[in-house]
Amino acid sequence: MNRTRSGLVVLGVTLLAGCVTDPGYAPMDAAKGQYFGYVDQPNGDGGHTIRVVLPEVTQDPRSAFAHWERRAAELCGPAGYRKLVHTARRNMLMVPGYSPTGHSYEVMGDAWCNDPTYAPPAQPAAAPAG
Amino acid sequence: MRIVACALAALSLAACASVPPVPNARPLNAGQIEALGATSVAVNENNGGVMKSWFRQDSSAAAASQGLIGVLVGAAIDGIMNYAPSRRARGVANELAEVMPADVLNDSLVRAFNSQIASGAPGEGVVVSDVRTVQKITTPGVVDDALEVATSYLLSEDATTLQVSVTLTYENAAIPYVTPYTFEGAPPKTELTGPLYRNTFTYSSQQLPVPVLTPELRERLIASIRANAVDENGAPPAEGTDAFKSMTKELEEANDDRLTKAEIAIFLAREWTKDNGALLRAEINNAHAFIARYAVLDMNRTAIPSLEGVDELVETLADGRTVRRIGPGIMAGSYVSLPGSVSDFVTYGNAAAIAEVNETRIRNTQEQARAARSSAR
Repeated sequence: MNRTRSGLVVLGVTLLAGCVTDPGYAPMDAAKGQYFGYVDQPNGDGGHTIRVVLPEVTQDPRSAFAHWERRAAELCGPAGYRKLVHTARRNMLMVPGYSPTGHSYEVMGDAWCNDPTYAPPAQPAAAPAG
Repeated sequence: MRIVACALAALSLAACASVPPVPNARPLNAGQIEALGATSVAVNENNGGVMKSWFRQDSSAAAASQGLIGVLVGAAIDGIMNYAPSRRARGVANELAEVMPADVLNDSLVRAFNSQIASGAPGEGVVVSDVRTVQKITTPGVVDDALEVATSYLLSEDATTLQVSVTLTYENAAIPYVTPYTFEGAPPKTELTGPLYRNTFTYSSQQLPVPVLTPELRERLIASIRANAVDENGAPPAEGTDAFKSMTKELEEANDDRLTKAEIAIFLAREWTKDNGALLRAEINNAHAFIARYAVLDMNRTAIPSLEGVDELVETLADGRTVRRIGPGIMAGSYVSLPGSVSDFVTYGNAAAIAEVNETRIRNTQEQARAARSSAR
C-alpha cells in the first residue's frame, strides 16, 4: 500500500471514527450499516455463538461482557445457560507510517441453554396495557 | 458538517477497493488427496523464537507532510516514546529465549508431526510419511511435494496470552493449483499460481489473570521501570536523554490508579519463564499437538471455504478449550484453538521484539547463506 493510499485510509478511518457512536445493547445489522452491537447464531453443538462488538468510543469496554451475558439470558430464558467465552480482544487499526489506534472491543463465546425444551419468544412480549 | 465528513471518509476508503478477495485456505480435492497419499512434512526452522508484541508509535507518515523539520521532530518524539517499550519488550523476549530456545520449539513441532506418522495408513488419504526440518534462510524456495510448516510465536502486549500461528502449504510441480472459485472476469493473478494446499492454524493459550494494583505492586512497578532504564553499566539515564524522558513518562503513568497493558506485561512475563518455562513449554506442546493433528485432518477435507461461511465448533475439550473452523471472510476455513474462559481484552501490537540470541542466530545463518552462494559462483 503506498503512502497516498495509506493516508487516505487513515483519513477515512479517522473521519468515520467521528461518526461512530456506541449503540449500547442493540443487534448488529450490516444491511443498515450497523456494524456494532450483538449478533448470534447456532453453534452446531446445540448452543449459540454470541458475538458483541463495541466501538472504540464506548465509555465502558467491559460492557461488551455484560451485553454478551444479557443476550445469552435472552436466548436461554430463566433456566440459565452454560457458557464458554473464548475471545475478548481489542481490535486495532494498523497502517504503516501511523501509530496504531483502537477500533473496537470484541467479545465472543458460546452459550448452551440449560433447558433444551425452552424456546425463546420470537417477538418481545407486549407491554401490559395501562 | 458531519454528513460531509462521513461522505469524505467513505470516498477515501473507496480508494482501497480492489479485486474481489477469496479465502486464504486452499483445500485439496478428492483426486489430489488420493494422488498425495503418504506425504513428507518439512518443518521450516523457526529462527525468531517466542517474540514479545508491543506498540510502536510511528508518526513518520504524518510528519512527512510537514517537510524536513516535521520528519526530524516526528522521529525525535517517536524515539522518546518507543525507547522504553522496545527495550522492555526485548528484555522479555530475551528471558523467553533463555527457557525456550528456537531449537527447542522446532524439536517440539517435529515431535508433534512425528506422532502423526503412526496414525495414518496407506490408502487412507493424505498421511504423514516422514518429518524433517528445513532452514529457509540457507535453502529458500518451495520444497516440492512436501507439506511445509511455517511458525510464529507471539506473546501479547500485556503478556496474558501466547499466540502460536502456523501456515501450512503444499506445492507440487506436477499438480498445479486450479482455483475452485468462479470470477466475472479473469481470475486474479493470486489465484493462478501458488500452493495446491494452504491453511492457517492459530492457537491461543489460556489467559493469565491480570494482577490487581496494590501499593506494593506499584512499588515493584516503579522499581522495574527504573531498572529497565539503566545502561549496561547499571547507571541511570542522564537528564535530557531519550532514555530519561521515556523513564520519566513511564514513572508518571505508574503513579496513576490503573495498570496499562504494558505495565501488566511487566508482572506477567515472569509467569511464563518461572519454573524453567514450565507454562510456556506446556502451552507450546499443546499448540503443536493441535496443529499436527488438525493439519492431517484438514488435508483430507475437501470442503471449499466461502467468504459468507458460518463458524463451526469442531471440538470441545475437557478443560473447555474449543477448536473452531472460521466461517466467513478471508480466513474462512482456517482453524483456531481457543481457551475455555477469557475475562479481559487482549491486544497484539504492531511490533514484535526478537531476543538478541535469535537475532544473532538469524544474522549468522544469513551470513552462512551468503558465503555458500558466493562459493557456489
